[in-house]
Amino acid sequence: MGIIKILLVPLAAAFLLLITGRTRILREVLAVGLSGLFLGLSLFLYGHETSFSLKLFSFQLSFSLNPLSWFFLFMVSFFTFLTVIYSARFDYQKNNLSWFHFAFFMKVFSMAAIVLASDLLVFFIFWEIMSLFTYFLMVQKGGEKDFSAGAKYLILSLFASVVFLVVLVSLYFKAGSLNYLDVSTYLLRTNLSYTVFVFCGLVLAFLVKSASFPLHYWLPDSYSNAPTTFTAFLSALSSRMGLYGIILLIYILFSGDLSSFRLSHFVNLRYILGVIAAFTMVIPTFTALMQDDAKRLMTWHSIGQGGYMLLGIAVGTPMALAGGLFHIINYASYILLIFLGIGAVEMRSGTTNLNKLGGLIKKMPVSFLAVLFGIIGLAGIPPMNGFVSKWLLYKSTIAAGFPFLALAAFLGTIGTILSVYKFIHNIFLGQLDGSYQKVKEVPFLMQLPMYVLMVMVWALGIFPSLALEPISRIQMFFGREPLSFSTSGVALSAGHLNMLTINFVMGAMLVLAAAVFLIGHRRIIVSQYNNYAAGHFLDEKTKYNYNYHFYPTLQRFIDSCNKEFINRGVDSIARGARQVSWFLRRIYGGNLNYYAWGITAAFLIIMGSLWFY
Amino acid sequence: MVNPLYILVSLVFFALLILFVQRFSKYFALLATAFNFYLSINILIAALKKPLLVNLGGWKVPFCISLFASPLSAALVLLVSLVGFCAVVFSFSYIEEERNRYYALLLLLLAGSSGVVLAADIFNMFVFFEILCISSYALVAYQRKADSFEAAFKYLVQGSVGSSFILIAIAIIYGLFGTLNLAHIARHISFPLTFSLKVALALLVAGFGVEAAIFPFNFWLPDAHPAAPSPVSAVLSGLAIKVGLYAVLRLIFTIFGYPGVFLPLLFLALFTFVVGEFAALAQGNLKRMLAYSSMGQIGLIAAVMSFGSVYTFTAGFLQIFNHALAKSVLFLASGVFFYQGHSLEISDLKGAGRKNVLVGAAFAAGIFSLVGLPPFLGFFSKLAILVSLFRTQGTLVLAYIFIFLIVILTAVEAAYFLRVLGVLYQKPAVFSAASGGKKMALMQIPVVFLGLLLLGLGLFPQIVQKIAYFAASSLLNKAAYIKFILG
Amino acid sequence: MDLVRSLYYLGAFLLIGIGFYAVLGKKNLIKVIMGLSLIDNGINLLFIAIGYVRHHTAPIITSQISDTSLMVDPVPQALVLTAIVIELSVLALALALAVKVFAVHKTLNLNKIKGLKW
Repeated sequence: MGIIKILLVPLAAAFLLLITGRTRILREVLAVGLSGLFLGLSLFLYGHETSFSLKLFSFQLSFSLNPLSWFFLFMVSFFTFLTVIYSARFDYQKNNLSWFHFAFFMKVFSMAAIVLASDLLVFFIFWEIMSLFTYFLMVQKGGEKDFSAGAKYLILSLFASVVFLVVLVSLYFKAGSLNYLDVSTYLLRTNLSYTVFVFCGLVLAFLVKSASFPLHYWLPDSYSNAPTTFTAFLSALSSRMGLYGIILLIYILFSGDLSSFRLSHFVNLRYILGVIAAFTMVIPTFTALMQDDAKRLMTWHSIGQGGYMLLGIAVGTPMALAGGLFHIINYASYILLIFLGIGAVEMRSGTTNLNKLGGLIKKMPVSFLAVLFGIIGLAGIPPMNGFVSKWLLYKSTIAAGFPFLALAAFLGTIGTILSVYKFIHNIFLGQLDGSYQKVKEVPFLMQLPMYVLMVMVWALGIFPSLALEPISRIQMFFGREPLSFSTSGVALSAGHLNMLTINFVMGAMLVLAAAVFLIGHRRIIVSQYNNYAAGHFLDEKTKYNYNYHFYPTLQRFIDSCNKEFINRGVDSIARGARQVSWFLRRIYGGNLNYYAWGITAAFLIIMGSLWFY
Repeated sequence: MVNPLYILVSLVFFALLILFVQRFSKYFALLATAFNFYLSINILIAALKKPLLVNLGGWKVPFCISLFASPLSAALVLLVSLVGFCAVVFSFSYIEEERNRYYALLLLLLAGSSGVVLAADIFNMFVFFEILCISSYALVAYQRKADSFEAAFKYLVQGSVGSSFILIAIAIIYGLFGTLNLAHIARHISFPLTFSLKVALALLVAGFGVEAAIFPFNFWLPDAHPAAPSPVSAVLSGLAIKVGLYAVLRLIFTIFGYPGVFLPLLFLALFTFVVGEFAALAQGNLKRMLAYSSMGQIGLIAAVMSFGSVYTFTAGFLQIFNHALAKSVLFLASGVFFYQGHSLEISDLKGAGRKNVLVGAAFAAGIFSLVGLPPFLGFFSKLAILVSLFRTQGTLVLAYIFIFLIVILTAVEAAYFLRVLGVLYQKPAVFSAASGGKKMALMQIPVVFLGLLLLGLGLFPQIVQKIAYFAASSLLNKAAYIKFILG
Repeated sequence: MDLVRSLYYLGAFLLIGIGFYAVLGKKNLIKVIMGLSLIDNGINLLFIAIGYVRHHTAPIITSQISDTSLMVDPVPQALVLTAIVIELSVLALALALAVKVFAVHKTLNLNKIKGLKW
């Protein structure tokens, strides 16, 4: 019964908000209250394993709550709650908010239904509904760019969905039912080529959704065009639905052993997924470097970090899987944090263009701290949580015998560190531009989620067991060995990781450095604008700040490599379709005689085929 | 009251009444279609239990003219009356001049469609078919613009060529068997077919295929559907082509009793599907795009149906329902946009969806249903099509090709529909909404109603599924057909 | 099949063929319509020919003549009557439309009346 209650909350929220959307106060209170209720219910369900079956409308819908579902459900509800609190005060520039909220909660509902499903048909139906509402959220601003970006997404998503549907139908006929258990028992018995077919068909839809290379081209445009709160939410959660699907596919449907599906001696499905993950880690993180828009930079990281999660899931050893799953929740926490910060900056300064911002640290200190915590996590630097999951991933890929994948992971981290430094520097550090003198910090209600997330990011860093506990339950649910961990770290034969120690060490060094800084050499405090340049007068208007063209050498190198294959490939497909369309249109040329000829000729063809058939 | 004859009689009666009493034409038409709708529901409920046979004039079968309401026919009659009713309500405000002739012709169109579906002998089918065609020729030319006349003329010539094919086939069949009653003819036909029967079948498929808009026969469609006024386009796209397809299928599968897959139709239909969906991509005029989309969909339906098994018929029938409702929504909505903005170019519609919230929402519902997204009816029909294709035994290769085409063409469909949807809701709105008021409300009612119906049937598809299954079994079961009519 | 009937059939199909030639090959609008008319006439002839039995008489029952075994098949004749009416209305509509098309395009050449294409 708990399942149905928890599903009804966001559904009810969606419809209630559609009706009451006009009055701001009522709307915000309802949204926050209902999402809080949702969070509460999901926390309450921790550790329960229930299942539920419902005959609704005309089908058998079956849901079940297992540790994996709970993990994702908690993520969905927690981050929804924080987003809703934040968006209560966010300035949406007078768009029609009742529809936004409706689409938002319908999406939350469909995400919850997806993770709670225990039947592939239910999964598919809600997957489609979720894609639809994601499209609605993306096109909120209503400009032409938004619609074309959204269309790119939905067309690709629909294509993948139809392939999924075809596989589903074929599975239904062979396995008899679409229940996860039945499907997995069937797949164990059947032959290799069919399982590869099923795997490829299903994984396509998930790779599209999680924006893995090479199907990632839709994400930067559509996510960065959406209003920032939605970008935050979409980056954190929506793409991870694809990962949920992949986890479902590998560990529940395929019973976890991908390496047995060999296409040749070296090539097996596990390695192919790993390679896809590798490309996804490296390429987008370096593309992120070159972006001039804060949101776009971070959305490229959405793509890139998804690669880490995919890596962990693909490799599959206890440490790798734990690392991958941990990375999912870590990533969601710090990307949400970063986007909340970006949203704050955007709301106060009116722009997200990295070349124009600068020096906002004094004016928006809370946002600065939030973004700082976020990027430390994103880059995988201790003491934040990103470090733990990345450490797990590096160690496990090397231990499992995939050195090149580990190398890719390292490269990705380098790209990440470079791009996040550019990010935080261009927004917060440096000299404050005159036009931003009046900028203040955002209201408290928007700061509150930032505080919560900062605490979460650090706490998960010090005590990773908070997350590793549910993760090990998931691993045991899959029938695999869990990672052994302790309260503040991981205990392995190959080496320990104790975050508490690391934190103390770092804290101690920080104190030492502060002491040296404050007590040591004398220093003179000067104004930011008091600069000297040889023979050159600098005043407030001329900034001596280094923002534009941040990594020139690296950029030159990347530009020469970046041929934009994927985008051009997609554009040529679209152009090809239009050409076919133009060609086929011309059949209808307008000459009546030809039309009549067509009729008689077709009659003769039918006659002929009947004669010989 | 539960007599299929009343449907035809009432429609023709009201049509004539409108022509003679030159006033209140709107109300008579509304009364006629409402009454028709009520009748068709009753007939469907009765036909699902036991098919209805009415012999006109008291003569005996097989010498009389009979009307046979099988579940398939009754379901199609229901669809005809439903869409017809919505079109009449829409025309209340939309059609402003020459009302008498318009409503009379529309009622005759509906009478013709119902007659084709209900007829139990071939010549009667032909006569009602001609009533349908002629009314549609005239209605296409209703707007009296340059392209209306040209479209109507071309449609007429092609339709006449088709009708002459049908007549030659009737002549051949009569010459061979001496009877016009469909069941009696069916009794005489057995496989393998003789040469003259093959000629007759080819002629019939070609002839009815013109109206059914299968590929080489459908050159009239992209011209005629946009040129007609919007409610007429809705009726033509939603009903007329389905009726033509019904005639083709009834003849191939029930009368000729073709076993298994009917390959010529399958190939032509696949080709129609491809041509229609692709050609819609490059269109700039909204109604022309919708017409090509209709072409593609009818290709899909015909291809599914030509596999010849009960499952594929059920799926095809579900898709008929889905397409008829969804396309009517789209055409009627385009009528609303035209009424306000006086232009049908897609680029002129920017922001139209924001100015007309309900119509825009219904338009979106129609689009999503055609593409096949849950929770609309289109999802079930697509699912049913895929399930039925997997179930076909034999000719597996064709089924796989077809599935592949469905996958690709769904993406293509999504492409052109989403483009329109995007334009409709675009932010800098170019679209200027003209007057509102009572007229607009009356025009919006049928659009919204059909949109809600799509959503409702999507959430509760059992009703339509059951009807579709009965319809499919009645189409395939030649022996039962003969037995029921001839005893 | 006896010679007379075959001659009728041949004539009917010939008429239909000439009609099709006109519809398929002629560029003038009016000639196309005439072609349609020819096709219809050919079909009517075909029907009558199908019902024809040699040496039999008209199928009219009066008070004196009621022996149906010596009459030609009446059904095709009824069919032809209906068909003539249908074809008449189609032709009338076609000619009306042709008048209007001419008024708009100022030409009867089908190659030039291509306002709607693609």
